[in-house]
Amino acid sequence: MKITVKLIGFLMYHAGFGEKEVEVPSSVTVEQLLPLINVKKSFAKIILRNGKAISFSEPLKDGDRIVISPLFSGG
Amino acid sequence: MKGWTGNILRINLSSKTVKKETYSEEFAKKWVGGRGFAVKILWDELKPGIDPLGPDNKLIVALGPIAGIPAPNTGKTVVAAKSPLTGGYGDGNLGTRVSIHLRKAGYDVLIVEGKADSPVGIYIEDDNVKFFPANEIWGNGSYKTMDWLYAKFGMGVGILTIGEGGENKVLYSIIRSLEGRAGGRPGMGAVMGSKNLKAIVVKGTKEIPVADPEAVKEIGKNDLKKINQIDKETGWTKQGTTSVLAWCNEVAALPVRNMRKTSHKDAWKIDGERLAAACVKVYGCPNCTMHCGLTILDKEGHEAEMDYENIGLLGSNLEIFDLAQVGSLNYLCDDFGIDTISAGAVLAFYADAIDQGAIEGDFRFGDAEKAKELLKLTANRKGIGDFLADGTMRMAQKIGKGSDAYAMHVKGMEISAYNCKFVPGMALAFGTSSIGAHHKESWIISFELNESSRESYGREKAQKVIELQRIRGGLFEFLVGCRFPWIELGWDLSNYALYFNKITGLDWTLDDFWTVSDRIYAMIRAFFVREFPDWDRTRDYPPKIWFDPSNADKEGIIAGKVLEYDKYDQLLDHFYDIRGWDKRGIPKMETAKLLGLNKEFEELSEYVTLE
Ligand code: SF4
Repeated sequence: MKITVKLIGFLMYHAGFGEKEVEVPSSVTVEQLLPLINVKKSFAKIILRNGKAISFSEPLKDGDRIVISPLFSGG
Repeated sequence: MKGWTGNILRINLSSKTVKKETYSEEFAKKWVGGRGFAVKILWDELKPGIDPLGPDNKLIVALGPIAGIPAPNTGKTVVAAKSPLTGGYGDGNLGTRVSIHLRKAGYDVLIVEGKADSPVGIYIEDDNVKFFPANEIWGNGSYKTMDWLYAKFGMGVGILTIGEGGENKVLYSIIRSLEGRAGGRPGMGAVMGSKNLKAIVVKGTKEIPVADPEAVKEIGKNDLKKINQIDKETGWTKQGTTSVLAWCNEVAALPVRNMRKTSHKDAWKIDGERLAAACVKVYGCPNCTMHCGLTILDKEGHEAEMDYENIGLLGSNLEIFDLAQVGSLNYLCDDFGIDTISAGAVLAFYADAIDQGAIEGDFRFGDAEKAKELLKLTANRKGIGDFLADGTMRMAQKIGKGSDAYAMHVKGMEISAYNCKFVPGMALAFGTSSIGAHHKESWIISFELNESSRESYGREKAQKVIELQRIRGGLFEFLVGCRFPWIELGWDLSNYALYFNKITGLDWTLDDFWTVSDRIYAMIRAFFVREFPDWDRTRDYPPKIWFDPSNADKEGIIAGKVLEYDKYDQLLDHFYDIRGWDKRGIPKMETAKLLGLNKEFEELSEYVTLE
């Protein structure tokens, strides 16, 4: 299945992309997705699916938009 | 007493007199430093009702026990006074070598009183204080002024200065230092300007007294290195604070079009990724190994130091999605010494009021060139700029026609770059921020999207706002340091108790710090209440437009949703209850007693009935 992943801040330099469509095995969880895109779990603090926070164990669905962000404050 | 110098330097500009005073160990332990010292001194020394721009106001420069020590991110200084913008207590925290030099000169606090009869500067070198004429630099922007001061006093000195904004008493003018450092959003620059004080320059050469010099040396050596390593491992400083912009756009919390909209399709053009790619230099504060001052070349080729708040307010909120143009606005604000956040909010409010037909004018959202022109007029209080220089609250009072609904401020201070149309906890954070709507005290938005739920108005959010206020508005503001190692890199808070104890020789825990924080919050609130004895909870409300269903997003993840008054009131009740404040938002007498504020609240009870 295909999902869109958007990485916030420094995570994009770890993964080598800011936003892209990724082909993943069906019902992959967030936790399983992270190594596939080279993002360390300890740096992935907030995971949003279509704008709502989800947990690491959440299985993803075809067409999901996943935004992963590290710890930050905004200033 | 170790860790504190125990000295206050008092300078009167009217009489040109200088006095060295001492403070007691009891005072040090009760207020610790920074905004703690500042609010207590201003409470004791200012008569209620004085003109914040008159000679009776006092400018306080206050440091804390960790300030200036070569420990992580301690190159910060608190500047405070009665605010001309809010009429209450006001302060700011900026990166400057003053923190090191003033402490090395032997002082923790500088009090500037009175008013000089012509433009002056103050030069402090250890025990010697001199006044120098500043006519030659009066009327200059802060960059040129700093060059002049460095040429006169040497490159390494500590500087606090103002630009035209402060000189002309723009109510949201700030104090400047180093390349792009600025602080004192509630008009601290105007207070300096009202005293005809162009600059404070400090050089200190003594040792800062600490209890355990060996341990402090080790901390300086190891922890600064460790923080640098974490930064390298993560890469946080590649984008610094600006990484937040893309996230706010995703979660519908970006300020767009005077906060009428919460995201924009062009936001990517001014986000952290674009900024990192355009970055030509990185500046930072002293004693910092994670420099976050990302600098780009603006449209005119100047170096402009950017952060998220600046881009949010001067970029997306004005619908200007050209990074170099946002840089130009940022550069102008810095050079004029006016607050980027308030300036962006003022221009957006002006454009919105024109849009709504409440006022006539030719400024439109997206017009960067006109925005530059308006900033110049504002800094010099010329033409329409005189109106813009007073901030959104006063502009709305003049315009009328219901425009106060979309004047985006709390207590007179403009809201920084989080659009809380449907982010209840963050709206509470702005509503109850001690000095007016500032993001620095409680950044709860990630908690409420992640660990709580966005829809919730529950007690957990009020509790979290207070927890963050204790740390961000308390600890970092009274120890006087930068919060970023903790916030951005996860540097453990217990380190700060360790630093404090090694520096002072005391044995405090974090809980001791939270008591000091609560005392300071009660005192800042008391200061506001003494100025406005008709105080009620509506002063802790964010602007009406966030509650207006007709302003709800039409599409996207918060479509159809806005804040609700009765629920916000419940949240506020939780906040007051946890803080031990009454339903008006005034600390109860019993709370004051628990915090050791008996005397101060007896005084307050002459102005208002306390519960
Ligand atoms: S992290 Fe940024 S604001 Fe904090 S001390 Fe370093 S340069 Fe200054």
